[in-house]
Amino acid sequence: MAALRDRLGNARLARAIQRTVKVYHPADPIPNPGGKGVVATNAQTVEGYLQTLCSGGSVAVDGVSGNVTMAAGYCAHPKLWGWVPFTSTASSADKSKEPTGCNCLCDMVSAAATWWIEVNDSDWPHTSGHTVTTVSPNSDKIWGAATVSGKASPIDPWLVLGHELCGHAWLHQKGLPDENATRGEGGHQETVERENLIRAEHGLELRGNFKDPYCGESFWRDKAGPGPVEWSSFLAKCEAWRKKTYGGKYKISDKIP
Amino acid sequence: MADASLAGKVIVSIVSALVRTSPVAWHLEYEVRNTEQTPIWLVVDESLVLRRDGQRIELSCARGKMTPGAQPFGYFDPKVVEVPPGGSVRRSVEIAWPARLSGLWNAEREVAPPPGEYEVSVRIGHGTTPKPQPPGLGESVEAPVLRWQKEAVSQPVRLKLPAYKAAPE
Repeated sequence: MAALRDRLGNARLARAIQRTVKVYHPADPIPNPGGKGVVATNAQTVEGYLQTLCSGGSVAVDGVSGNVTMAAGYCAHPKLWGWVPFTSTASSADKSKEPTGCNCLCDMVSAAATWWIEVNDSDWPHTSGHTVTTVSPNSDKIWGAATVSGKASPIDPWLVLGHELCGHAWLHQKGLPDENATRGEGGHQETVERENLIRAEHGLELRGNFKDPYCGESFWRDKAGPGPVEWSSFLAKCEAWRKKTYGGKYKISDKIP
Repeated sequence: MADASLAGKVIVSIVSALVRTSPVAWHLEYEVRNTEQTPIWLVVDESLVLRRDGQRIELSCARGKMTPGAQPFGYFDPKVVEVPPGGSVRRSVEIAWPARLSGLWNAEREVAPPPGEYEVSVRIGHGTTPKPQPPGLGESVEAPVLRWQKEAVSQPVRLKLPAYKAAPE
């Protein structure tokens, strides 16, 4: 038992010092055109987003290296230390207020692959390779998606990060399906489900699925004004799919039962 | 400064090219002239695609093709400005070295070519209507945009890339 405890203790220590999520250019300031926005580094900004996704676990981003860390033992399941083998006991992350967000960060921080987080206001948020991007609070755009009730609702930058990191990247890391080729015709739903788990933890209205009004699709609009809603082109695909599948029975603003 | 046309009707030319040394950056101003009888809509997205072949570098302001496997939060029509018949528009592109690029459009997020002399050209995209057709069932959301977009490229100019500090890991 002592040897087992040593091995497990080493594993736990290893987890505490693993750094497999990193922030790009952590010491650089976030974009701040005009100089009137939030003044912060990429590291500080992402740390705030991650701490919103998981308010426990002492999530931190090193301001020099960009390494993301969590408190030692926060992610560990006590079954590793228990006296009854195979009895699953909840981890601190499981018992947190945001189990989806916290377990996502636990999984990503302990992943074998390195994942990068980039703050980028000049492009659409995205996941490519092992990099996820999100926007800064100074972005000139409001990003959003249609909710279950059909409202074109803004998505805060921390949730944009949640969508990319705990949706696409997490599904990839876990080897789970993430079908996006048929987005607008039923694809992209696994990541939306992940986003909705996070939304539920924060008391936010859920994002719609492809049968809900506006197909749960994403949009952007200029903050100044604010400007009109600019829907993603996937909405047009969804409209075409509705027309083909149901004729003219359901408008894009309708929910399909 | 070099001036060039590309097969016809929309002409792009680099009208000035500056090399900054601290930090090292290139600043290019280019002009797009529409010699057609009808308006064109010039793509003015913020994203940049960089293509390098030895000592040649192309900076493309046209809508690119997404990198394989990339998952965008959404896919959106290009931002455009109208150029009337006989009219022209001046735009600029600035690129600091090492270049930080979007992984949505570029295979590499950071590009650090060795210092030296380069032949640099600018590519633009434009359409003959304000926006592409919407995507149809079973086709990629990119397909109508890439069908809609026509491209033109400038003649190259020679630019020096001074020694610069590599980006820290």
